[in-house]
Amino acid sequence: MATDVLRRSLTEAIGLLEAGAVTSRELAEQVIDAAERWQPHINAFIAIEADELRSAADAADRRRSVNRTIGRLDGIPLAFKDMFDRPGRNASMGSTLLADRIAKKPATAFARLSDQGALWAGPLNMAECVASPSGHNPHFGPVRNPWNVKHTAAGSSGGSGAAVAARIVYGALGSDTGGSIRLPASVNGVVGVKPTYGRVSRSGSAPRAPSLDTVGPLARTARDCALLLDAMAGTDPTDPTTWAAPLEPALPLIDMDLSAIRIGSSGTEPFDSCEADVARAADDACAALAGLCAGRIDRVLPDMNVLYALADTIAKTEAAALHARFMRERADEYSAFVYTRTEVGFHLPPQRYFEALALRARVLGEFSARVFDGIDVLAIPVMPVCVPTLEATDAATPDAINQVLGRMTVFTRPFNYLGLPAVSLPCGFDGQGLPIGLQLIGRPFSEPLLLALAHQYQMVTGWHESRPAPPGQARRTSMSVTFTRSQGA
Amino acid sequence: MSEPLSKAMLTIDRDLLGQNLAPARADSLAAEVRRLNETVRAHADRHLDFFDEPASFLSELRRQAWQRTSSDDR
Repeated sequence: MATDVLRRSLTEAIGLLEAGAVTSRELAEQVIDAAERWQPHINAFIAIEADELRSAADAADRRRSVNRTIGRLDGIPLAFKDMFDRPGRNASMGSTLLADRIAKKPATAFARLSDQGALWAGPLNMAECVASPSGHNPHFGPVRNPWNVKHTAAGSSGGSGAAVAARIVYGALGSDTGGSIRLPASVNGVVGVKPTYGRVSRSGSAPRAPSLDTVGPLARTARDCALLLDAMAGTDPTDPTTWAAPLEPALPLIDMDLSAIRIGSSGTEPFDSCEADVARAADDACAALAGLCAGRIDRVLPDMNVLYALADTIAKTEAAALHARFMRERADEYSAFVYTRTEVGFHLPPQRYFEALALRARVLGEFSARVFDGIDVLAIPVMPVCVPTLEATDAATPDAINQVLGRMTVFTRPFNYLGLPAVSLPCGFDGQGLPIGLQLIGRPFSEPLLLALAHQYQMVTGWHESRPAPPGQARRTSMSVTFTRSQGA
Repeated sequence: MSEPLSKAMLTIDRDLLGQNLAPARADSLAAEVRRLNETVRAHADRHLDFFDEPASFLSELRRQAWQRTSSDDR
């Protein structure tokens, strides 16, 4: 058996399974071992379902032994943010509020990956009520960053980012209402996809703000994310926001010709406020991307603060409406921070909610016309700051928290309002050895282009190959970026 | 003239949620509500016309959708 099998990508693991170099049971044992070794340090899982994983792996091996695999992912261990329904099981949503709720049918995204043969290592830790990028959870404890456990793994899909970065699983399911896939991908040094609104069904996943909620994958490479995204995307009658027309799959286009593609970036407000390490890494990454394409053009973007406020108004109003009964009857089950964040929605006039929704199509049209005129992909940092410590994101001092958390999401939340696809990919390390992420944003349903660009960037850089040292070993320092392949390679 | 963000609104909150807000928290809450209220209202005043036809966000997403060109194939 290959000894470093968990260091391989998902795509490579599929190749090993297909070649008979490893069995699903062997993968499962390594996943369980890694999960149990990392768990005391990073708290990525809410539960490690070892026996179920072993049984499912044995079943996958039996299918493979008689050439009856059920899909590309057959026998591959993944994990999921604990907000996706499974029949007969409870999904916590990072809270105690749903403890008595047993799902009747699986979430569509979860079911589609299962239908491709994915195995599940267990539910992953997440923000309470899908409500915060802080990495903290008062019910299950904080998710710690595997690169440095004093730092946050962010959220709300913190366990997803940490488990993939720690090489416990090959990929994970997450959700993104204001940055909840992109931020954990960024701070943990993995790839995350916030799909176009309507590409992936949210049916069976716990809502935060249905007008903004999206479901997507996190994995170590853009190619792996393309595979997972293609498996879960597509129309779903139980989520009427999904697009009925056939969607262009991402994986077959992963090596597409980028020679005519133009990259847009912005050095003006608010992007000129990035911390120095972030600005340097993003600038280097944009230069590398431009080298793969037809070049780079500076763009002045619309007022991000307005886009943020429009998104925030929708998010807070919808969250308040969804949580109203729980907040009346079970207020003591909320942390003060999540309660306070949600409470704002009760005081916003309904006119503002209507205006934010009524303006949305127009703002998207204007944004597309202005920003995507002459460029194909916008490349900006995922967040303007280096990875904060858990102490800095602790809710003990709400005003300081709001400033830290507000800064974390300032570049992500606007794109949930616009509904645009965004891919977060690692592009360097800060002075403390913590990852920095770049965000690629494109026109609606341009995930194939974004993932092709991210993939070809990863083919000429090595950031995604760096990994945090396993527990008990010295911290791995960041590796320098190396350009090993020329355009088109 | 700004819209009222009155103590009455916060009273609604107390009635609705059965909670008493600490003064500092009430100030913080009011500040955030005011910020969102004023930013969205100002933008709507400039860009939302009384006679605008309701526009569908989902339709606009689909209208703006990325189209692959033949040169994208390798």
